[in-house]
Amino acid sequence: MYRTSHLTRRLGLRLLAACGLAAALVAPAAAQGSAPYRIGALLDVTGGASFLGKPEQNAVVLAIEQVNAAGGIRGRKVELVFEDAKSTETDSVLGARKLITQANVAALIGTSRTGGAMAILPIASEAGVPMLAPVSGVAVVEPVAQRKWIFRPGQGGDLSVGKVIDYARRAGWKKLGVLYSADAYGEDGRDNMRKLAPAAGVTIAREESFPSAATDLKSQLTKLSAAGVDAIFMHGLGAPSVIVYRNARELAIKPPIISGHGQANSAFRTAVGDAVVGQPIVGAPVLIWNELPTAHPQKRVSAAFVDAYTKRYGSAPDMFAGVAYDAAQMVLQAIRETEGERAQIRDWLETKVKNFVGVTGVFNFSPTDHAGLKIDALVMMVATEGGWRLADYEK
Amino acid sequence: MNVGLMMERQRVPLAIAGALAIVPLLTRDDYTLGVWTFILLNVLVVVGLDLLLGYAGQLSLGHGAFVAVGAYVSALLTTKAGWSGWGAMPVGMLAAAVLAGVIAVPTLRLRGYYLAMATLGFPILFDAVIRVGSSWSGGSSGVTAIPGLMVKGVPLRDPAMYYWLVLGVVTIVLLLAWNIANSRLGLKLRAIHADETAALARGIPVVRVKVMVFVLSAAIAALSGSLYVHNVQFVAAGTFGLQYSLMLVVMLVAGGMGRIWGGVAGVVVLGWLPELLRGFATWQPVIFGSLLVAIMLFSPSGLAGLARRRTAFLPGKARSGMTAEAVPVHPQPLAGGDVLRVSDLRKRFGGVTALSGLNFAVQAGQIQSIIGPNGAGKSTALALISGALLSDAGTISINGLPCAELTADRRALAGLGRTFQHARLIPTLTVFENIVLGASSRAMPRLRSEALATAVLDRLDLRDAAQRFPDEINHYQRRLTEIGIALALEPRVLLLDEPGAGLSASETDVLGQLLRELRSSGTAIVLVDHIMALVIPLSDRMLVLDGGVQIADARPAEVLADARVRTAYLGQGAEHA
Amino acid sequence: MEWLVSVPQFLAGGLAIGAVYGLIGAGFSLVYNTSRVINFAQGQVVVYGGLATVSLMGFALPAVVALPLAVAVCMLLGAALQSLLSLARKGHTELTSIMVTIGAGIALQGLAHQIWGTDYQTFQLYPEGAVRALGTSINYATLTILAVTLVMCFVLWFFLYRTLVGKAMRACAGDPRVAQTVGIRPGRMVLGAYVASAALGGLAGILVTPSLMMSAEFGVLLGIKGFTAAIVGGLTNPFGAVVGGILLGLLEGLCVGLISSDLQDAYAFIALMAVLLLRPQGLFGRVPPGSSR
Repeated sequence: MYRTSHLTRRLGLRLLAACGLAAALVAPAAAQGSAPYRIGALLDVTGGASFLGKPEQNAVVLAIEQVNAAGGIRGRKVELVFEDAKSTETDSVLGARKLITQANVAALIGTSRTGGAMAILPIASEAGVPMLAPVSGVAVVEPVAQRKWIFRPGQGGDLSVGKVIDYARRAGWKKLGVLYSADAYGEDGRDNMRKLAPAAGVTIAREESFPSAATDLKSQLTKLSAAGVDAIFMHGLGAPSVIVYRNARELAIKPPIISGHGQANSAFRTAVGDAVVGQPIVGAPVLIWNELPTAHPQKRVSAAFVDAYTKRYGSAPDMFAGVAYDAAQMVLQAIRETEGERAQIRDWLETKVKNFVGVTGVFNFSPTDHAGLKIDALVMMVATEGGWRLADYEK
Repeated sequence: MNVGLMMERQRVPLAIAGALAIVPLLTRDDYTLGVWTFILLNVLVVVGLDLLLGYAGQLSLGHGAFVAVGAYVSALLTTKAGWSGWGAMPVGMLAAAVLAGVIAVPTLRLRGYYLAMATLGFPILFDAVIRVGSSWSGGSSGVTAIPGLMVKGVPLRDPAMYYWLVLGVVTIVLLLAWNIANSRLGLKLRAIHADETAALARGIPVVRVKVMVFVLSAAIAALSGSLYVHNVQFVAAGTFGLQYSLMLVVMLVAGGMGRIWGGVAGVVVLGWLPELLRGFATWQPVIFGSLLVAIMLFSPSGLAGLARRRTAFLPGKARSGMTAEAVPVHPQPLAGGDVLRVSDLRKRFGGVTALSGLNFAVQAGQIQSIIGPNGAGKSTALALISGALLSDAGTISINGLPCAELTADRRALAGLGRTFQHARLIPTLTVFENIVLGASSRAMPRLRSEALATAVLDRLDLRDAAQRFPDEINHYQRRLTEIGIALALEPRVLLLDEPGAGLSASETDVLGQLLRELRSSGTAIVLVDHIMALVIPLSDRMLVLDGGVQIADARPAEVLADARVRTAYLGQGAEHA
Repeated sequence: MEWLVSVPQFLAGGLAIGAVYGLIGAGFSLVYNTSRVINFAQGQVVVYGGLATVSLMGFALPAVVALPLAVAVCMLLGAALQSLLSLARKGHTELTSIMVTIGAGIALQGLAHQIWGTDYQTFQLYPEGAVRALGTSINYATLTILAVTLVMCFVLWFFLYRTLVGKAMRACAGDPRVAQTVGIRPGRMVLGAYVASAALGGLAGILVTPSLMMSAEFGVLLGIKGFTAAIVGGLTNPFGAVVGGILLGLLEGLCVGLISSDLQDAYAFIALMAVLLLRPQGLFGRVPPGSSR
């Protein structure tokens, strides 16, 4: 008995050491000076945020394929190195380290979640790797002085809220109710509303939240309605955002429900059916691109993107895909106009992204603004019987 | 204390630490070091969890919440209150300990899986607290820009240095856990896991020990969380949620519970598995889940089950010339008083009266036997006296101390030892370890416990069986061991429940001789048995129960002559040999 | 405070989901009764019930065909799980059985992700609209769910108290060894319990998907809530579990309305802790062993 356990423990220790050795060998030496330009993408294709990560991955892959099909950049191919952030901060950190130190990427696109982006930005900053995060969290690029390497080419939560407030102002709404999902996205919307509403003379009469698996929001709707609001601003993700509209119908709630851009996708539109008809929703041009006037700067770019994406993947892209596509295009353009080194890409992004027409909007980065969009990047849409249309407010 | 022996005992944790220390020497790649660092952080939590689950058998499915407590306390104190990371760590551990204590005290009083059920909600409750308190906690967005740990005024960011730091902490915790596991406390934990009733009877304060190990494991988990945030510099409520908590259990189970090094192996293997499975990333949960199922079905002891456990308790040198006086006796019984007095003890189970008024008293150096037909209430009586059951009415006092309201372990500490009708040896402990367990309930140095247990072992002539497990010895040896555990308690009064059952004639003689010697050394004995050849010659007094009623209590000769007794039990005119 | 008059509305909001919790909880109870095992994979069965229906109806199968098929799929899952458990080597404890169900749950969730992806899915089942009663609006979905739950309770009662198999199962739950002496095979009864429990779980999934939308993510939370329902009602009493579930749903609705919507999920756990501390046997269950010290 003594001998067996002794031997087994020795064996176990040797196995342990062997593991360490193997792991160290598995990590390949950083490839230096190899031909293709390397871009890293760290997106959440598994886990709770995969509904964001998958379309984003599709879009980035599409962008890289397009550039390689056109002959690459200066005769060199562009290689996409992909890691799954798995919707957790720990895996985001591991993935970022892997892309930066092992794959030696020149730039990093990721992650799909604000939480993941927050977790990896110290790594990108310390390693001096330009990072483009397709998220809406404001803290990702503020305070700008501490976010030298970080860019956020997406519709910020503040833009979405700003759009809603502008719409509210025009519609003459004075009191708003806020209904937000109990997660980072929803809280971001609530916080932005708290910040921006007073300046426009709009008061928040009541706030209610809902968890991601709520099955009934009548309690919240009842309380909001009883607070005498002119409209209810909903900012949330997940199934309850569908249920809200149904519940509102059943309760015959008077105030309209105006939703943030989390609902501007086809999955939501199919699921909610006609309970949402007539309600305003913040959206992106890519969703109603065919209604854009020809002179609209994004019409051409959106049309091309929608066309290419649909051909490649068999379904139309939504906003998340558009943001990732823009991020990839920015990096590619930066490589084209520099030698593709990390610091050069960063500088290019900060100084040369001026009136950059993307699918998502017209970007303008500067040393004080790494988000680059104004509220005209978003459009107000209204749900119709079959989908959406541009709201009259925009015309 | 022999230093060489001490080092010898620490071989396993030191070897593990040594093997892990090689890693940064083999690779300078930040990514690989990063994975190993996360592995070490998980090893911390899993080792604490092993003490709780592997040793004490308490299933906590929400342990991530304690990691999160440590993480958040460190994060908030350093970002909002400007504390140093080093100072915040103990606060985090304390917070987790307090929280664990608050949760554990009510839930661990229950048996079964109520702890598992209660713990499932921790991550969700924690998430709710963070969201409600979003003004100070950062809400769902989490806490960002957490500063690194300061070493000589410079934040610690070098991956290799960080690895060494965490490894240092891991080494300390490994040593701590290893020593607990191989101490008498470790025996108590394993006893609680196997059989709480027996543990109570041996004087182990079960609830107190369970709470203590729960609190300890929570504090260790919090330490891991604190170290995490100073490395990753970000934390959110969902970082250590339910998925993470379940993964901890999977890692521990796969590696092997109850060995300390098993948990380490599990974390290392499952920590690198995602790397190996990179091509199948989306299949990971299916693979992990199936792995857990397969291990639990076919090798419940996990990887560690391959190696037989090595005992940390060995009997001392054999002593020659053992005499009855060498069997230690509990010091100073009350002179002339009753060691055990039972008065008007009653118990009903629903509509059935099991015992309606039991009265007797035993003095030091006396053997009181209780006999009666099956179903007379003898076992109930013993259960009531020892504390396994609570009486409805009546008083019990041990050496003058009223005991009827005390738990079984407190009565054991007051000097009451008992054996069970079906020997309740702890199956995962060796014979010697079982006896040491009996000798461990009162505060005394480990050497004394071992010496005591060795003395009992030799007195009962069990040395050959000392290293065997209960399922490897015969019935007679099990019986003797059962008695030995009670003797190791140095009891004032010894309750024996059918010790003679299943013994051969010669074995019964040996048992009788043992009881005589115990009596002459001053132990009071209460003996329940059917074997008249054993009972009658030994008893100073005999008490007869019939249908819960006490029908006689006198010297054997008088009892045998009593007509009521004859009718009830012995049969009119018949001689029972 | 005008909305205080909306208390009935708050309660009404929790009725449907409460009934669903109750069905899930009844499943826990059936399995626990016959085998003393807490089946942590129950929540996943609920998911499979809902998502399988989505797929089946996606193949243009009418509801009358798709629903029973989906329930059948779940029953197969239950049988498979129990068969797995019966493979356990000698020397396994209740702890290992629970671990097996945890592992099975993790694997099933991963498999569901593979099959159905992560998007929320739903199908139409209930007529749109609502009735107004007692000052509140109760939608047809809620009424249908309540009606089905009531029918299931009756079916369960009939099964357990009026059929031979059901009585055998109850006998087994009481004392398996004695049951064996009259020719009942405990292994078969345990299998039956798992299958029945899975049927209830699958049905719960079917009932809840049209309202909630279903995703592989929901299994864990639904399982925990169903389990809480069983604890509240009494783990040993399946009908108690149904009552417990409805009470839990009402409690959630009330607390969200009166206190705060932030803590919606937490209320269930606070309820769980309260029951465990104050009355561990629940409302209708038997006193658990050992708690009398």
